[in-house]
Amino acid sequence: MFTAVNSKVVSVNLAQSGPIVARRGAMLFYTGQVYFEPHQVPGGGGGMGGGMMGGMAGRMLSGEHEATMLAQGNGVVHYGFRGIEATVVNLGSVGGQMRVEASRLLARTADIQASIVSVASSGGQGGGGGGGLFGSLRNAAAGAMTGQGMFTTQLMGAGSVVVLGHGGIFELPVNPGGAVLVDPQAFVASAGQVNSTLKSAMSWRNVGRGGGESMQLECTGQGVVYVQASEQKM
Amino acid sequence: MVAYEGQVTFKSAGFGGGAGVVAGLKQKATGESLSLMECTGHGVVYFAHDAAEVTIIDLNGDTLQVESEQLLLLAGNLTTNVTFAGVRGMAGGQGLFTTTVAGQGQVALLSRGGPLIHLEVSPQYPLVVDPDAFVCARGQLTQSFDTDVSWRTAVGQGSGEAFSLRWAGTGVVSIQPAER
Repeated sequence: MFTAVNSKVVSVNLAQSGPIVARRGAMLFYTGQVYFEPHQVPGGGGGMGGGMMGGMAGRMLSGEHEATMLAQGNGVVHYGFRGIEATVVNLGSVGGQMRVEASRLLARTADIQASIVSVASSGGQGGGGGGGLFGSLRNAAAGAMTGQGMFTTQLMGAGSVVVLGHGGIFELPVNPGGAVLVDPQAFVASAGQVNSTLKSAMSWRNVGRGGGESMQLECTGQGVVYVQASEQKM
Repeated sequence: MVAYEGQVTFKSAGFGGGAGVVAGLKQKATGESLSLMECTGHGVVYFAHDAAEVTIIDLNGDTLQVESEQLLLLAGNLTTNVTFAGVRGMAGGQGLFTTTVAGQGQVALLSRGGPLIHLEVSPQYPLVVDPDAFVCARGQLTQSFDTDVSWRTAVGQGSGEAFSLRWAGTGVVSIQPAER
Protein backbone atom coordinates (compact mmCIF):
# COMPACT_ATOMS: atom_id res chain seq x y z
CA MET A 1 0.00 0.00 0.00
CA PHE A 2 2.81 2.38 0.86
CA THR A 3 5.31 2.92 -1.90
CA ALA A 4 8.86 3.94 -1.16
CA VAL A 5 9.68 7.01 -3.27
CA ASN A 6 13.26 6.92 -2.05
CA SER A 7 14.85 5.73 1.18
CA LYS A 8 13.28 8.59 3.11
CA VAL A 9 9.93 9.33 1.51
CA VAL A 10 6.87 7.12 1.10
CA SER A 11 3.75 7.75 -0.90
CA VAL A 12 0.34 6.22 -0.50
CA ASN A 13 -2.74 6.20 -2.68
CA LEU A 14 -5.68 6.80 -0.35
CA ALA A 15 -8.16 5.32 -2.77
CA GLN A 16 -6.43 1.96 -2.45
CA SER A 17 -5.29 2.04 1.14
CA GLY A 18 -8.21 3.66 2.89
CA PRO A 19 -7.58 6.26 5.61
CA ILE A 20 -4.00 6.72 6.81
CA VAL A 21 -2.86 7.63 10.30
CA ALA A 22 0.43 9.53 10.23
CA ARG A 23 2.63 11.48 12.53
CA ARG A 24 1.46 15.07 12.64
CA GLY A 25 3.50 17.28 10.39
CA ALA A 26 4.97 14.42 8.40
CA MET A 27 2.94 15.11 5.27
CA LEU A 28 5.14 16.53 2.53
CA PHE A 29 2.64 17.08 -0.25
CA TYR A 30 -0.45 15.55 -1.72
CA THR A 31 -2.47 15.47 -4.90
CA GLY A 32 -6.21 15.05 -5.17
CA GLN A 33 -8.94 15.59 -2.60
CA VAL A 34 -7.42 14.76 0.77
CA TYR A 35 -8.74 15.80 4.18
CA PHE A 36 -6.67 15.84 7.32
CA GLU A 37 -8.02 15.75 10.83
CA PRO A 38 -6.52 15.14 14.27
CA HIS A 39 -6.47 11.55 15.36
CA GLN A 40 -6.17 10.02 18.82
CA VAL A 41 -4.66 6.70 19.72
CA PRO A 42 -7.36 4.94 21.74
CA GLY A 43 -6.31 4.80 25.37
CA GLY A 44 -3.59 7.36 24.89
CA GLY A 45 -3.59 11.12 24.70
CA GLY A 46 -6.91 12.80 25.42
CA GLY A 47 -8.69 10.07 27.29
CA MET A 48 -5.57 9.29 29.28
CA GLY A 49 -5.94 5.68 30.11
CA GLY A 50 -9.66 5.49 30.52
CA GLY A 51 -9.57 4.71 34.22
CA MET A 52 -7.37 1.66 33.97
CA MET A 53 -4.29 3.67 34.61
CA GLY A 54 -4.53 7.03 36.24
CA GLY A 55 -2.19 9.62 37.64
CA MET A 56 1.44 8.80 37.28
CA ALA A 57 1.00 5.92 34.89
CA GLY A 58 -1.14 8.14 32.73
CA ARG A 59 1.54 10.78 32.53
CA MET A 60 4.18 8.21 31.68
CA LEU A 61 1.82 6.89 29.11
CA SER A 62 1.58 10.25 27.49
CA GLY A 63 5.27 9.94 26.70
CA GLU A 64 4.34 7.11 24.40
CA HIS A 65 1.93 9.27 22.49
CA GLU A 66 2.82 11.14 19.36
CA ALA A 67 0.32 13.57 17.88
CA THR A 68 -1.11 11.97 14.79
CA MET A 69 -3.37 13.01 11.99
CA LEU A 70 -5.80 11.07 9.89
CA ALA A 71 -5.73 11.50 6.14
CA GLN A 72 -8.70 10.39 4.11
CA GLY A 73 -10.21 11.10 0.75
CA ASN A 74 -9.04 10.47 -2.72
CA GLY A 75 -5.50 11.17 -3.73
CA VAL A 76 -1.83 10.44 -3.24
CA VAL A 77 -0.08 11.64 -0.07
CA HIS A 78 3.68 11.77 0.44
CA TYR A 79 5.18 11.39 3.89
CA GLY A 80 8.66 12.02 5.22
CA PHE A 81 10.15 13.08 8.53
CA ARG A 82 13.38 15.00 9.27
CA GLY A 83 15.27 13.18 6.55
CA ILE A 84 15.20 9.94 8.49
CA GLU A 85 15.09 6.71 6.52
CA ALA A 86 11.64 5.18 6.36
CA THR A 87 10.92 1.49 5.94
CA VAL A 88 7.59 0.00 4.89
CA VAL A 89 6.55 -3.11 6.80
CA ASN A 90 3.60 -5.20 5.75
CA LEU A 91 2.11 -6.34 9.04
CA GLY A 92 0.32 -9.25 7.45
CA SER A 93 3.60 -10.82 6.38
CA VAL A 94 5.19 -10.57 9.83
CA GLY A 95 2.46 -12.22 11.84
CA GLY A 96 0.02 -9.33 12.12
CA GLN A 97 1.62 -7.98 15.25
CA MET A 98 4.28 -5.40 15.89
CA ARG A 99 5.63 -3.43 18.81
CA VAL A 100 7.16 -0.08 18.05
CA GLU A 101 7.72 3.15 19.89
CA ALA A 102 5.24 5.82 18.89
CA SER A 103 8.05 8.22 18.02
CA ARG A 104 9.33 5.73 15.43
CA LEU A 105 6.01 5.42 13.67
CA LEU A 106 5.72 7.56 10.58
CA ALA A 107 2.44 6.28 9.19
CA ARG A 108 0.11 3.31 9.17
CA THR A 109 -3.11 2.31 7.56
CA ALA A 110 -6.09 3.15 9.78
CA ASP A 111 -7.36 -0.43 9.82
CA ILE A 112 -4.49 -1.35 12.11
CA GLN A 113 -5.42 -1.41 15.75
CA ALA A 114 -2.98 0.55 17.88
CA SER A 115 -2.84 0.23 21.62
CA ILE A 116 -0.35 1.30 24.23
CA VAL A 117 0.98 -1.54 26.30
CA SER A 118 3.44 -1.78 29.12
CA VAL A 119 6.88 -2.99 28.12
CA ALA A 120 6.79 -5.25 31.16
CA SER A 121 3.90 -7.19 29.73
CA SER A 122 5.81 -7.77 26.55
CA GLY A 123 8.59 -9.41 28.44
CA GLY A 124 6.29 -11.98 29.95
CA GLN A 125 7.94 -11.81 33.33
CA GLY A 126 9.24 -8.29 33.51
CA GLY A 127 12.90 -7.41 33.21
CA GLY A 128 14.05 -10.50 34.99
CA GLY A 129 12.53 -9.13 38.13
CA GLY A 130 9.83 -11.73 38.26
CA GLY A 131 6.97 -9.38 37.44
CA GLY A 132 4.85 -7.75 40.10
CA LEU A 133 5.50 -4.37 41.58
CA PHE A 134 9.20 -4.98 42.00
CA GLY A 135 9.53 -6.10 38.43
CA SER A 136 7.78 -3.06 37.07
CA LEU A 137 9.87 -0.74 39.23
CA ARG A 138 12.97 -2.43 37.93
CA ASN A 139 11.73 -1.97 34.42
CA ALA A 140 11.07 1.68 35.03
CA ALA A 141 14.59 2.18 36.34
CA ALA A 142 16.12 0.30 33.45
CA GLY A 143 13.93 2.18 31.03
CA ALA A 144 15.02 5.49 32.44
CA MET A 145 18.65 4.47 32.04
CA THR A 146 18.44 3.49 28.42
CA GLY A 147 15.75 5.83 27.22
CA GLN A 148 13.60 2.83 26.51
CA GLY A 149 10.18 3.86 27.73
CA MET A 150 7.97 1.86 30.03
CA PHE A 151 5.30 1.74 27.38
CA THR A 152 5.30 0.87 23.76
CA THR A 153 2.77 0.91 20.98
CA GLN A 154 1.33 -2.39 19.89
CA LEU A 155 -0.05 -2.66 16.39
CA MET A 156 -2.37 -5.45 15.31
CA GLY A 157 -3.90 -6.10 11.92
CA ALA A 158 -3.09 -6.83 8.34
CA GLY A 159 -2.26 -3.37 7.01
CA SER A 160 1.01 -1.61 6.36
CA VAL A 161 3.24 0.41 8.66
CA VAL A 162 6.03 2.86 7.93
CA VAL A 163 8.77 2.85 10.54
CA LEU A 164 11.53 5.42 10.96
CA GLY A 165 15.12 4.39 11.53
CA HIS A 166 18.13 6.70 11.55
CA GLY A 167 20.57 5.38 8.97
CA GLY A 168 18.16 2.79 7.66
CA ILE A 169 16.73 -0.35 9.17
CA PHE A 170 17.79 -3.94 8.83
CA GLU A 171 15.86 -7.01 9.91
CA LEU A 172 17.11 -9.74 12.17
CA PRO A 173 15.09 -12.95 12.45
CA VAL A 174 14.46 -14.23 15.96
CA ASN A 175 14.01 -17.96 16.40
CA PRO A 176 13.30 -20.00 19.51
CA GLY A 177 16.81 -21.40 19.29
CA GLY A 178 18.69 -18.13 19.11
CA ALA A 179 18.15 -14.87 20.90
CA VAL A 180 19.08 -11.56 19.29
CA LEU A 181 20.55 -8.90 21.53
CA VAL A 182 20.08 -5.32 20.48
CA ASP A 183 21.48 -2.05 21.70
CA PRO A 184 18.42 -0.32 23.25
CA GLN A 185 19.24 2.87 21.39
CA ALA A 186 19.37 1.05 18.06
CA PHE A 187 16.23 -0.98 18.65
CA VAL A 188 13.37 0.15 16.44
CA ALA A 189 10.60 -2.42 16.52
CA SER A 190 9.79 -6.08 16.82
CA ALA A 191 7.21 -8.08 14.93
CA GLY A 192 5.63 -11.41 15.64
CA GLN A 193 5.84 -13.16 18.98
CA VAL A 194 8.95 -11.49 20.27
CA ASN A 195 9.60 -10.85 23.93
CA SER A 196 12.16 -8.23 24.76
CA THR A 197 13.75 -7.99 28.15
CA LEU A 198 16.40 -5.58 29.22
CA LYS A 199 19.56 -7.33 30.22
CA SER A 200 22.55 -5.87 31.95
CA ALA A 201 25.96 -7.23 31.09
CA MET A 202 27.42 -5.22 33.92
CA SER A 203 28.64 -6.75 37.13
CA TRP A 204 30.83 -5.58 39.97
CA ARG A 205 33.78 -7.28 38.32
CA ASN A 206 33.89 -5.19 35.20
CA VAL A 207 33.17 -1.74 36.59
CA GLY A 208 35.27 0.60 34.51
CA ARG A 209 36.33 -2.18 32.21
CA GLY A 210 33.09 -2.61 30.33
CA GLY A 211 32.96 -2.32 26.60
CA GLY A 212 30.43 0.48 26.66
CA GLU A 213 27.70 -2.00 25.86
CA SER A 214 26.40 -2.59 29.34
CA MET A 215 22.69 -2.72 28.51
CA GLN A 216 21.11 -4.85 25.86
CA LEU A 217 17.61 -5.77 24.87
CA GLU A 218 17.35 -9.53 24.68
CA CYS A 219 14.78 -10.51 22.07
CA THR A 220 13.51 -14.06 22.23
CA GLY A 221 10.63 -15.93 20.66
CA GLN A 222 9.64 -16.11 17.03
CA GLY A 223 9.59 -13.13 14.75
CA VAL A 224 11.65 -10.29 13.40
CA VAL A 225 13.54 -7.49 15.12
CA TYR A 226 14.16 -4.20 13.34
CA VAL A 227 17.44 -2.47 14.11
CA GLN A 228 18.67 0.90 12.87
CA ALA A 229 22.24 1.75 11.91
CA SER A 230 22.66 4.34 14.61
CA GLU A 231 22.45 4.80 18.35
CA GLN A 232 20.35 7.90 17.99
CA LYS A 233 16.97 7.94 19.70
CA MET A 234 14.16 9.86 18.17
CA MET B 1 27.40 -2.46 18.31
CA VAL B 2 23.76 -2.31 17.38
CA ALA B 3 22.88 -5.98 17.74
CA TYR B 4 24.36 -9.43 18.15
CA GLU B 5 23.42 -13.09 18.14
CA GLY B 6 25.14 -15.80 20.11
CA GLN B 7 27.56 -15.56 23.00
CA VAL B 8 29.56 -12.38 22.77
CA THR B 9 31.23 -10.40 25.52
CA PHE B 10 32.30 -6.81 25.22
CA LYS B 11 35.09 -5.35 27.22
CA SER B 12 37.15 -2.25 27.00
CA ALA B 13 40.27 -2.86 24.96
CA GLY B 14 42.01 -0.92 27.68
CA PHE B 15 44.57 1.83 27.69
CA GLY B 16 46.00 2.18 24.21
CA GLY B 17 43.22 0.28 22.52
CA GLY B 18 44.90 -3.08 22.99
CA ALA B 19 48.16 -1.93 21.46
CA GLY B 20 50.01 -1.63 24.74
CA VAL B 21 50.93 1.01 27.24
CA VAL B 22 53.38 2.83 24.98
CA ALA B 23 50.71 3.23 22.31
CA GLY B 24 48.31 4.45 24.97
CA LEU B 25 50.76 7.06 26.16
CA LYS B 26 51.34 8.14 22.57
CA GLN B 27 47.64 8.48 22.01
CA LYS B 28 47.24 10.53 25.14
CA ALA B 29 50.17 12.73 24.23
CA THR B 30 49.13 13.30 20.63
CA GLY B 31 45.39 13.55 21.04
CA GLU B 32 44.95 10.89 18.38
CA SER B 33 42.87 8.89 20.79
CA LEU B 34 41.30 5.59 19.95
CA SER B 35 38.73 4.30 22.39
CA LEU B 36 38.10 0.72 21.42
CA MET B 37 36.24 -2.20 22.84
CA GLU B 38 37.05 -5.82 22.29
CA CYS B 39 34.38 -8.33 21.26
CA THR B 40 35.08 -11.96 22.03
CA GLY B 41 33.05 -15.15 21.95
CA HIS B 42 31.15 -16.72 19.13
CA GLY B 43 28.24 -15.26 17.32
CA VAL B 44 27.37 -12.58 14.82
CA VAL B 45 27.80 -8.94 15.79
CA TYR B 46 26.30 -6.04 13.85
CA PHE B 47 28.13 -2.73 13.97
CA ALA B 48 26.98 0.70 12.92
CA HIS B 49 27.67 4.21 14.05
CA ASP B 50 25.41 7.21 13.83
CA ALA B 51 24.00 6.28 10.43
CA ALA B 52 27.36 6.76 8.74
CA GLU B 53 28.29 4.79 5.63
CA VAL B 54 30.66 1.90 6.19
CA THR B 55 33.44 0.74 3.87
CA ILE B 56 35.41 -2.45 4.46
CA ILE B 57 39.07 -2.46 3.51
CA ASP B 58 41.25 -5.57 3.29
CA LEU B 59 44.78 -5.16 4.52
CA ASN B 60 47.40 -7.56 3.19
CA GLY B 61 50.36 -6.80 5.31
CA ASP B 62 50.36 -3.15 4.30
CA THR B 63 49.87 -0.10 6.44
CA LEU B 64 46.82 2.11 6.43
CA GLN B 65 46.95 5.67 7.65
CA VAL B 66 43.54 6.60 8.95
CA GLU B 67 41.76 9.32 10.86
CA SER B 68 41.09 7.69 14.21
CA GLU B 69 37.56 9.06 14.44
CA GLN B 70 36.69 7.39 11.13
CA LEU B 71 37.68 3.94 12.34
CA LEU B 72 34.66 1.77 13.10
CA LEU B 73 36.34 -1.54 13.78
CA LEU B 74 39.35 -3.62 12.94
CA ALA B 75 40.19 -7.30 13.14
CA GLY B 76 41.81 -8.15 16.45
CA ASN B 77 45.08 -9.32 14.90
CA LEU B 78 45.79 -5.93 13.33
CA THR B 79 48.05 -3.54 15.15
CA THR B 80 47.45 0.14 15.61
CA ASN B 81 50.00 2.82 16.18
CA VAL B 82 50.28 6.56 16.20
CA THR B 83 52.81 8.11 13.86
CA PHE B 84 54.00 11.57 13.08
CA ALA B 85 52.29 12.75 9.93
CA GLY B 86 54.05 15.99 9.34
CA VAL B 87 52.88 19.49 9.73
CA ARG B 88 49.23 19.60 8.85
CA GLY B 89 45.86 19.80 10.42
CA MET B 90 46.29 23.12 12.16
CA ALA B 91 43.24 24.11 10.20
CA GLY B 92 41.53 20.77 10.12
CA GLY B 93 41.90 20.30 13.82
CA GLN B 94 43.31 16.87 13.29
CA GLY B 95 46.67 17.39 14.86
CA LEU B 96 50.06 16.46 13.59
CA PHE B 97 49.68 12.77 14.15
CA THR B 98 47.82 10.04 12.44
CA THR B 99 46.76 6.55 13.39
CA THR B 100 48.18 3.67 11.41
CA VAL B 101 46.72 0.20 11.16
CA ALA B 102 48.97 -2.61 9.95
CA GLY B 103 48.82 -6.34 9.45
CA GLN B 104 46.60 -8.80 7.68
CA GLY B 105 42.85 -8.50 8.09
CA GLN B 106 39.86 -6.30 7.59
CA VAL B 107 39.18 -2.76 8.69
CA ALA B 108 35.80 -1.03 8.59
CA LEU B 109 35.85 2.71 8.09
CA LEU B 110 33.10 5.26 8.54
CA SER B 111 32.34 7.92 6.02
CA ARG B 112 29.86 10.76 6.08
CA GLY B 113 27.62 11.65 3.20
CA GLY B 114 28.18 8.52 1.17
CA PRO B 115 30.59 5.66 0.56
CA LEU B 116 34.33 6.31 0.56
CA ILE B 117 35.84 7.54 -2.68
CA HIS B 118 39.14 5.85 -3.49
CA LEU B 119 41.53 8.01 -5.45
CA GLU B 120 44.62 6.65 -7.14
CA VAL B 121 47.90 8.48 -6.64
CA SER B 122 50.82 7.92 -8.98
CA PRO B 123 54.16 9.74 -9.31
CA GLN B 124 52.92 11.70 -12.34
CA TYR B 125 49.66 12.59 -10.67
CA PRO B 126 49.92 13.76 -7.12
CA LEU B 127 46.65 14.34 -5.32
CA VAL B 128 45.54 17.28 -3.24
CA VAL B 129 42.66 16.70 -0.84
CA ASP B 130 40.77 18.72 1.71
CA PRO B 131 42.02 17.74 5.19
CA ASP B 132 38.42 17.67 6.41
CA ALA B 133 37.41 15.13 3.79
CA PHE B 134 40.48 12.91 4.12
CA VAL B 135 39.77 9.51 5.65
CA CYS B 136 42.62 7.14 4.91
CA ALA B 137 45.64 6.49 2.73
CA ARG B 138 47.67 3.40 1.89
CA GLY B 139 50.73 2.70 -0.20
CA GLN B 140 54.08 4.38 -0.67
CA LEU B 141 52.90 7.90 -0.08
CA THR B 142 54.37 11.04 1.31
CA GLN B 143 52.14 13.80 2.44
CA SER B 144 52.77 17.47 2.62
CA PHE B 145 50.74 20.40 3.65
CA ASP B 146 49.73 22.92 1.02
CA THR B 147 48.81 26.39 2.07
CA ASP B 148 47.18 28.94 -0.10
CA VAL B 149 47.23 31.85 2.24
CA SER B 150 47.61 35.22 0.66
CA TRP B 151 46.66 38.78 1.37
CA ARG B 152 43.12 37.82 0.28
CA THR B 153 42.82 35.45 3.22
CA ALA B 154 43.99 38.17 5.54
CA VAL B 155 41.31 40.55 4.42
CA GLY B 156 38.60 37.92 4.65
CA GLN B 157 38.37 37.21 0.95
CA GLY B 158 39.85 33.72 1.10
CA SER B 159 38.37 30.94 -0.93
CA GLY B 160 37.82 28.79 2.14
CA GLU B 161 40.29 26.26 0.81
CA ALA B 162 43.41 27.71 2.33
CA PHE B 163 44.83 24.46 3.59
CA SER B 164 45.03 21.17 1.76
CA LEU B 165 46.85 17.88 1.93
CA ARG B 166 49.11 16.94 -0.95
CA TRP B 167 49.85 13.27 -1.52
CA ALA B 168 52.73 12.13 -3.70
CA GLY B 169 54.06 8.69 -4.54
CA THR B 170 52.12 5.56 -5.37
CA GLY B 171 49.04 4.47 -3.54
CA VAL B 172 45.38 5.06 -2.85
CA VAL B 173 43.88 7.91 -0.86
CA SER B 174 40.28 7.64 0.30
CA ILE B 175 38.07 10.59 1.00
CA GLN B 176 34.49 11.00 2.15
CA PRO B 177 31.95 13.17 0.34
CA ALA B 178 31.55 15.45 3.32
CA GLU B 179 33.75 17.76 5.32
CA ARG B 180 34.15 17.33 9.03
